[in-house]
Amino acid sequence: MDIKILQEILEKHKAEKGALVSILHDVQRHEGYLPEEALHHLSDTLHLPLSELARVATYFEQAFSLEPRRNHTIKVCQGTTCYLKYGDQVVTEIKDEASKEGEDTFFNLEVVRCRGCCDSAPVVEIDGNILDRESAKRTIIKLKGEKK
Amino acid sequence: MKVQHLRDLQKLKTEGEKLLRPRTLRIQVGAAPCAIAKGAREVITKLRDELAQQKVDATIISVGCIGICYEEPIVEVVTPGKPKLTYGRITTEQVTSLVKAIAKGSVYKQHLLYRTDEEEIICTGKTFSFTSKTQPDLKKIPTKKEFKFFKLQLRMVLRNAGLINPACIEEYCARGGYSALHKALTKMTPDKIIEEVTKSGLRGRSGGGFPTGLKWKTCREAKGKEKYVLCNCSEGDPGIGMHKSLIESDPHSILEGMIIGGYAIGAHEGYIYLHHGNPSAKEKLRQAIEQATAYGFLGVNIFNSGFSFSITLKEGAGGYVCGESTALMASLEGRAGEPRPKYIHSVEKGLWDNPTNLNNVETWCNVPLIISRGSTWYSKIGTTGSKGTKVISLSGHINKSCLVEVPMGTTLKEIITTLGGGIPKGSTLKAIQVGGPPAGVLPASLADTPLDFDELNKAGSLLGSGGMIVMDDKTCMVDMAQYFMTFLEEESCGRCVPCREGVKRMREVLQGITSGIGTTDDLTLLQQLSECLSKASLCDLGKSAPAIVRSTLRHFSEEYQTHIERQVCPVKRCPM
Amino acid sequence: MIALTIDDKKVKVEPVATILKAAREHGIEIPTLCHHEGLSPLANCRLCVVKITKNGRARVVTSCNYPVEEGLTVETKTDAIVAIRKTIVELLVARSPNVKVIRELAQEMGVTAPRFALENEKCILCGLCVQVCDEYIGARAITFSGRGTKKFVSAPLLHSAQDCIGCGACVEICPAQCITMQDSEDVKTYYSGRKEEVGPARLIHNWNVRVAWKKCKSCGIPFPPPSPMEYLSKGQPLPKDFFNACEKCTH
Repeated sequence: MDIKILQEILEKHKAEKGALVSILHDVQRHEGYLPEEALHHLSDTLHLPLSELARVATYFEQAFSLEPRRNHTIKVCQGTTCYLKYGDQVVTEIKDEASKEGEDTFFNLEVVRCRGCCDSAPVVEIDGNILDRESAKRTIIKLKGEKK
Repeated sequence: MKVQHLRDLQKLKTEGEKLLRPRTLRIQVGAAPCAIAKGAREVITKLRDELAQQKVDATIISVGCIGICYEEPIVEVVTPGKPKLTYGRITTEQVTSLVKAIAKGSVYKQHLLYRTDEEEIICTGKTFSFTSKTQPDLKKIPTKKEFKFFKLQLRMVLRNAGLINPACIEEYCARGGYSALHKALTKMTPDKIIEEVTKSGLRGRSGGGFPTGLKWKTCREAKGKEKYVLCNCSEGDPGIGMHKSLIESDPHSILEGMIIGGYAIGAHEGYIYLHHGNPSAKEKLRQAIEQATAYGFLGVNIFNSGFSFSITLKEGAGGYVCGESTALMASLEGRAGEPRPKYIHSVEKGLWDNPTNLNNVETWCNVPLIISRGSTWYSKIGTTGSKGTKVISLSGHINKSCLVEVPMGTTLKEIITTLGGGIPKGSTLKAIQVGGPPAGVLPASLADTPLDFDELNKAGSLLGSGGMIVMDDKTCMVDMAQYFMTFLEEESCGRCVPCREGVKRMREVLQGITSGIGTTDDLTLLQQLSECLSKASLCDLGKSAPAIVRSTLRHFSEEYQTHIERQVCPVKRCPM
Repeated sequence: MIALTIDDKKVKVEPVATILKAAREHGIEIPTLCHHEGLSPLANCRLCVVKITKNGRARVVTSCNYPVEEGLTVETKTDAIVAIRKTIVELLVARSPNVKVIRELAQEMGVTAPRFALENEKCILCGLCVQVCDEYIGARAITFSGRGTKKFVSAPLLHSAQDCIGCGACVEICPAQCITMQDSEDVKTYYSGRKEEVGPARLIHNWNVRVAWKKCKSCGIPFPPPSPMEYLSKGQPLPKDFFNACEKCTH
């Protein structure tokens, strides 16, 4: 990771108390994951033991990942209303569609909770856009096509 | 321009009024998550194009959530001197016809929901008029007050939601914003403010139902050089994205409440803890804090009162458990969001061991109203034990998913039938979950229970977050119990044995039952595990985890029996 | 002095005591698993739960961290409390059926076969190893990773615990005895930027750690890190240079 970027992030949160989680968010946003070298650098600059960095980075597994994320992120909502409307079947369908022809290395597939769009349940969020089940499947097919 | 005196605030108010009621056309489009999911962004683009093409001069403003989710995308047209017209289900296909009607000065009847001649500004008790003349051609169209959706409601916390541009501080001021802050800082003492909040009867809106005034008083009296006020904007309940709408629709109401609270308690710093993965809510809050600081509502010597206050927005990184107060504070301190075992309350030793007052976002939004209208006015709303209103996010097997706000005391049945339009044809009501997993479920027979902290407790449930999920007769209650235990297992921090091991094992037992290998001994086992978790868990996640199992066992025991004795799921939901 | 009642026995204790301390001082046993006298209470295992009654209001609390209060009534062995403890032990046995301390607890409590599918975890996630390294030794070399049922203790990021000083406190404090170490006289240790050194080192397998024996400040002879447990048990801080001078030279 570019040290300059890391230094800029540290500078941005200079005045914030207890800024570790905010700093990690910025690193995650910029790099798509938390590179180990970044964690080592933060440990030195923030005077925190590496164990503390590792603790926070691995505890918040929904927000942070220690490995690079793939090109596209699919989040299938399993909030209560989406589940009531057979959201669990949607997970299976989306998983099948996304992993056809071994494409599962192209997508990050996550299960999330309530996006606040219960009227459209069950919903799927692809790269930040909320879609219903059929539009989601169509989008996945389209993205796979673009990859080729 | 820093607002220092009342006249400065009046100036802002006047500017805002000019924006809300401009001399040219103003078109408001709902752009909360539920609307965007239905294509609101595309509607805005199409509107822009059509207005240009048909040479209509108008400004398009994105607003928050009006709450009528089943009518989204919603478009409102403010024509100078005429009532505001609210249209529903305006997809890109309807835009051309709508703009044609606007250009002609007529009405797009097929999609018109209601008209607004004047709006109440609940902060001040005054009204805001769009027109003073009765429009004969619009007489047949229902007014907002007559429109079914608003009949049972009393929009106090949601007073500005969907009515203003959330990114515009002037519009917030036009509807009475920051006048409560002015009154608090220039005309009231901290003790008087706490007295008012106490007399109002306000109780915490995140489930605890703890009297807010008492909490503030204890925090004020606690010893500590530095004190903090916190806003929990992290809704991890799997049933609602509700608070997101509130934050996105009216961020300034949260800030105003917190500043007043800070003044009352003697804190100079506030933190808003926002659930991660919410970039639009984060942006709205950040913008609001920036604007409030630029205008002097945050910062040094607010309204020349000598009181200074700042608010920092912090993004969380965890889920449900970070809604627990000690876990939330750990996360704010930059540590893993694990609850801490302690028997000293956060109001005495909280953030960095300082006295800290944590309130839910809905609680904070009530504060400016209590200050401007007074505790006597506020305490007239609601029931004896539960004053004020409750924001309810209604979804599930319901005809109309919506975001509403009703006075405490309104029954669950009224909300479901009048506001939710009832259960879809062909199904009947089976169960209701009022406030997230800790609330368990209530059977249809208890649908007459009013929204009230104590009444819901008596019925074996609790008010909680207000995310009301309606379940019909095709829902398997054993499957739902398993669903919630799976959720809690994922969210458990793993610190204490009862929750970490117990929730997992309860989920396994329920999985066995839904797979057809359950036995009657399993029911005894579930009861024993429930007892252990509810008494010995470290935090409320573990303590309230058994609620869903206990309530389904209590009200739907025959379903468990059918799964166990006949290896059959009565509604064919389970994989047996 | 604070006056309270524990199991119908009237006792008086110092204000800073916890219920657990008060009970133990008066010969009343309360089972614990994640507790160590020299460290602040973790309250993870929840075995030490007791029933307290104050002003007519009864609650279940963990005795290891609940401070004594004037007039408190404590009951350590009600049927409900014993049932809760039994359930906790049953859950522990299901997770770690082959860990000696868990089997002993099970026998004490009369828990035979757990009613859950058996796992075979060696670590009981009590947190004492992380706690002693954090709070007492100050090296902060190891950590919990992950959360929930997937939680585990490890070196940070699963590599070698670079901040470990090899004192072995974690090994000695672990109730499950699942942390192993070995002192080896003839070990090659590589230092980046320097040549390799051959000499005695301590290996702590769980944390992928190899710590070369330090040379004594006084006599210059390498010696294995001394055990800090005696001082910890007495609740005393480690003397200065505790890890820098060998036993012979210290006395």
